[in-house]
Amino acid sequence: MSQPSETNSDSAVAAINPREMAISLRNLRVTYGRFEAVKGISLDIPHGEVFGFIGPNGAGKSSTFRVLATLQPKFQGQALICGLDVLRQAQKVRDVMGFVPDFFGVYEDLTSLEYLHFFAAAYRIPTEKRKSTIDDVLTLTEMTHKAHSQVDSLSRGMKQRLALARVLLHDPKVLLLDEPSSGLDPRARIEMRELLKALRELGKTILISSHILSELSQLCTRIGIIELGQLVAQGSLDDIYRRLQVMRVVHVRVENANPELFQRVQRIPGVESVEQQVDRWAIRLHEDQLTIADLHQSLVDVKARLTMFQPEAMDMETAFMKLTEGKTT
Amino acid sequence: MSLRLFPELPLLRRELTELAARRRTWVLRSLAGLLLIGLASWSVVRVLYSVIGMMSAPIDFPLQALGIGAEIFPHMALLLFYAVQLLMPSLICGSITIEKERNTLGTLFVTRLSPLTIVLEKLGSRILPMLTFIILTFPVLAWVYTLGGIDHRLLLATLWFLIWECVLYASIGLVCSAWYSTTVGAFIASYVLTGVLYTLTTVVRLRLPLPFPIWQELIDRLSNQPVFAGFGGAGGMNAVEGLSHLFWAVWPAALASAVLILLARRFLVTRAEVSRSSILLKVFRALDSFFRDVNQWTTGGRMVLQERSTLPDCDPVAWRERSKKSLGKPHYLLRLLLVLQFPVLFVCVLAYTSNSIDGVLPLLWLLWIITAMVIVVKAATLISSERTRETLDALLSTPITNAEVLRQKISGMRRMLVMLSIPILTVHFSRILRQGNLSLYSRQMMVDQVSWLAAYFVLSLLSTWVLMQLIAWFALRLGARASTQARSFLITLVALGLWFAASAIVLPVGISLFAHFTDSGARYQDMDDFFNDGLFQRGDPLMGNVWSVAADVPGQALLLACRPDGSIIATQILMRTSTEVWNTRRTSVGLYVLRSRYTASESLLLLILVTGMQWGFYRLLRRHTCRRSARLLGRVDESVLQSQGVA
Repeated sequence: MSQPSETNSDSAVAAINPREMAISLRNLRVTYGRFEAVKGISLDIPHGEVFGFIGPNGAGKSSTFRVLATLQPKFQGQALICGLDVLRQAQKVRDVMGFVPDFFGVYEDLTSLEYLHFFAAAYRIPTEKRKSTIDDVLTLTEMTHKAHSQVDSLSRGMKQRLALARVLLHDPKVLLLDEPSSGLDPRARIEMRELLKALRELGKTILISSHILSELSQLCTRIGIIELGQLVAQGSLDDIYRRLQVMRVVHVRVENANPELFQRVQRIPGVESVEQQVDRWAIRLHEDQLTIADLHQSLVDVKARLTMFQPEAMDMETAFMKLTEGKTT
Repeated sequence: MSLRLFPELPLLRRELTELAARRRTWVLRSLAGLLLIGLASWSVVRVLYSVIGMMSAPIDFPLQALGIGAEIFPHMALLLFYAVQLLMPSLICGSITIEKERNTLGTLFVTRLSPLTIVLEKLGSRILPMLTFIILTFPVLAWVYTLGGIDHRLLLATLWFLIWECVLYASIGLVCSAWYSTTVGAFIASYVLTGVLYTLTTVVRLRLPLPFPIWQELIDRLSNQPVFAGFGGAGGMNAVEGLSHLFWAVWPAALASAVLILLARRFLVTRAEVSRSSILLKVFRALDSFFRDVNQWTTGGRMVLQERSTLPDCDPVAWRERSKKSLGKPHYLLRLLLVLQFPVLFVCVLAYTSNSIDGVLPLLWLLWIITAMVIVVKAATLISSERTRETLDALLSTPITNAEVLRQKISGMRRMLVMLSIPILTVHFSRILRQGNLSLYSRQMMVDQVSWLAAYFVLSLLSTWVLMQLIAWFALRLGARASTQARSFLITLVALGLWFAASAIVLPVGISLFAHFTDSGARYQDMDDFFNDGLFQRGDPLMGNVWSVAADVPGQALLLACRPDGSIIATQILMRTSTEVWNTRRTSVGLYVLRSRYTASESLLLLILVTGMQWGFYRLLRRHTCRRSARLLGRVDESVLQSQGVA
């Protein structure tokens, strides 16, 4: 079931000064020929926030990342990073932003140290500062012991760490991480999450996309859910859960189930519907009118002898499934 | 279960559908069709007018032209045979390698298609498009047929041979495609094998039982005029002696094709998972190993050039190209230079001792072909290799400007260009030595000679460098937008061929036509006069009129500068002319297509102008490429937006 976005209202957007935001998108549209990949996304991410970008494959996440990373010359709308326009101030944007794409191409002929020196030179870091800067980022990403290893020989997890080390070289304010945990084994994923938490502690603004929703829930201060090029929801995790819980489902099993009791339950104020399933009833309720605890009390009041009372779990995966319809392009 | 009259051929169907769905198929097909029709028409017109020109009386009655189809037809047939040899390898070389590159070959193996079926359907999927190219020339063929003199059996026999030519060359390409892991490797190998076959059967005229006789026979038949020309007239019936003769005439080609197809079937399976290592890298590794062994054996392992580990300073892209790529490292380049230089020195010494001033000329052209190929392979894939390895986005998210990325990429090739220029300059130097030795007659002559030879060497050095830079930027410009290395390489190669064809054929023809319709061509009374006197009867069919129109040095310099090989020709002119300087007389320079007379100073001026113009082209190309760098790399460039007035 798809829910309309409520946080994306014009009034809310108008109240925010986009120049003060770490990342600001206004009515972003990206088209490839006749295909519209991004259909008018508006987004504001304040400094220091970790914003999770969630969406199925082909939803428009990577196109949005490419716009912000100054790699998409043709788009409509406005995109600002730290108040800098990605089109007109692209060079300045590259100084304040670090981008990790959703794939990790390697310069197979370089060692990790040479790789970082290569990008340190590309980021115009003064020669005398390079060694200390590279030592720092290697320490931060726990890559010091791999400094002289060929990049090609590193595991995927190590490569992703190296990619993070690369974008930290010029100490950017904003990090754009397009699926940094993709393809990593569980240990590498957990290590990556811890590393990202460390970066959050350093005050970096992070825009991160991932398919592993539980990970984002532990890391992100806000999330945005994108489908078919449109943001279907954005806000804090609590906001989104609350919005979704308006139509909460509670599964109950009643020992004395009968048609009369079924009708009495349907008449409880705040209950939207009751669906009789094989071994249980699925009660849909408006949680703003009837809380879970009140429903339990009401069921007891109508003489229902409960053997099971199970509110449907509301986690990020459920929220994602509720907000999106699984449509892909 | 229903019985099918024809097998379903799913792979063939898929391949043809895929080919039909690609826009570039239609673009290429249209271009190739236009080229074929154009060349066929040109061939027809050329022969028609030369035949008419040979007639004692002018044609005033159309029926007099009847029967000259027999004169024209062999030329057209030859053109079609060459077209097959030229196009077939490029059509088929990617048929199997593309499955390997996309990792879809395994998917085909798990279907019920047998390896032989896969090979045959792949073969069919490329032969059919080739046949469509041939069909495109049918309108011209039909017109030639109406001129008379062509027996319908001759027509059918030619088509029969053409089909077998397609099968034979497709089989060669298919084996290469099955053997190699990349399309580029298969492409190069296909053309090398085609070239070898051509050399053995046409140039060397080697007669072997398989697979050459069919090819030999075809070329013999088509190139020996009496076979075809006589066929339309009396006594030509021995050319095609019926169906049985046609059948037996193609059996070597059929047998060779069958063997090649079976080989392709075998390689398809045994080399399905072959690693995608670079051929160049393999060559380098083999050379590396060889030279290490030689060094160990001769000096006990002492190194002249020690490879030092360095870190980038302010030009990281160029640094990587110089210190981390095989074609950038000094010790690799030195070894490659030694491999090239030894045969070059050998030929130069041979030419020097045999008093042959032009003995090294073919070597010079061969070296230029090798040089151009290496530069194209390297420069065209500079950006696409980053794209294929998915490293471009990371690079482009740094503050290096787009133009700087391109400039540093080319700058990283500098060592390689220096290495490639050494054998070419060695050839020039050997010619200087040879000529210096020839003419030490007096002090004044020696002064003249030394100054001319110095000028020759300096100008050849400059022109070599300029031409290398021009080719490098040309290849970079064209290859930068391609998504794969194979595509960038092929695009550049085709463009280079078109550039050559355009400057060597289209431009002279255009000038001739221009001359005809302007004052300089006013002496021609009609089209017959134009063709017979203006275009064909100047010793060279194409260039005759051109040199009369652009007889002055600047005009000819412009014509030469437009050719990719213009500065090489101009260098040859200078050398030829300089041999005559100390003989103090004007000379006639007859190199290739050149018909004009030059003095030594004119030839010097010509080379200066050609080099200068090509330098100008190179600077323009470089500037334009840097300006368009944002578009080539697919990245935001604020300077472009500012120049477009986006505030």
